[in-house]
Amino acid sequence: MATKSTLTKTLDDLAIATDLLLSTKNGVRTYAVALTETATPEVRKVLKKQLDETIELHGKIAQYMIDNEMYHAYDVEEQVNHDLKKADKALDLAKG
Amino acid sequence: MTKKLAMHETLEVHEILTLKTSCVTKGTAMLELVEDEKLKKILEEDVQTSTKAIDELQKILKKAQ
Repeated sequence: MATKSTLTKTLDDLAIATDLLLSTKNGVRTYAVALTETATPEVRKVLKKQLDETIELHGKIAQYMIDNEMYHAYDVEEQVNHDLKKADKALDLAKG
Repeated sequence: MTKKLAMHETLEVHEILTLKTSCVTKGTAMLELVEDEKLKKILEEDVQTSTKAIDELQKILKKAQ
């Protein structure tokens, strides 16, 4: 179990932004699939509107991460190395 | 909307409701931890939009019952 202060240090802006990015990506996929399963026009309308909102949010958070050098979209090697380090940090945290 | 939903629609809307509920819960908790003002604004906006989305999804599900 990580202590509260360790959590606050670990759950920094990078972790929060990453989590938000993953949430919106998952959201866009889930909405798109659900939309193609609808039969009721009213339901379709609501899901389409919410899908559009989720796409907007994804654009904002992705751009934010690129602007703040949290996400190296144009340098895969750099991003992978960065993510390997983050994965190790997560493992250390879990070990306590 | 007078008609009941098809069963598979109920399941899909229910799944999305669960996803959004988790977003709002996590987002609200993370607002306490976030430092950067810009990121905080994005997060706040997400919590607001998702709260509205939950309300709309709940209405759909309640009508379906």
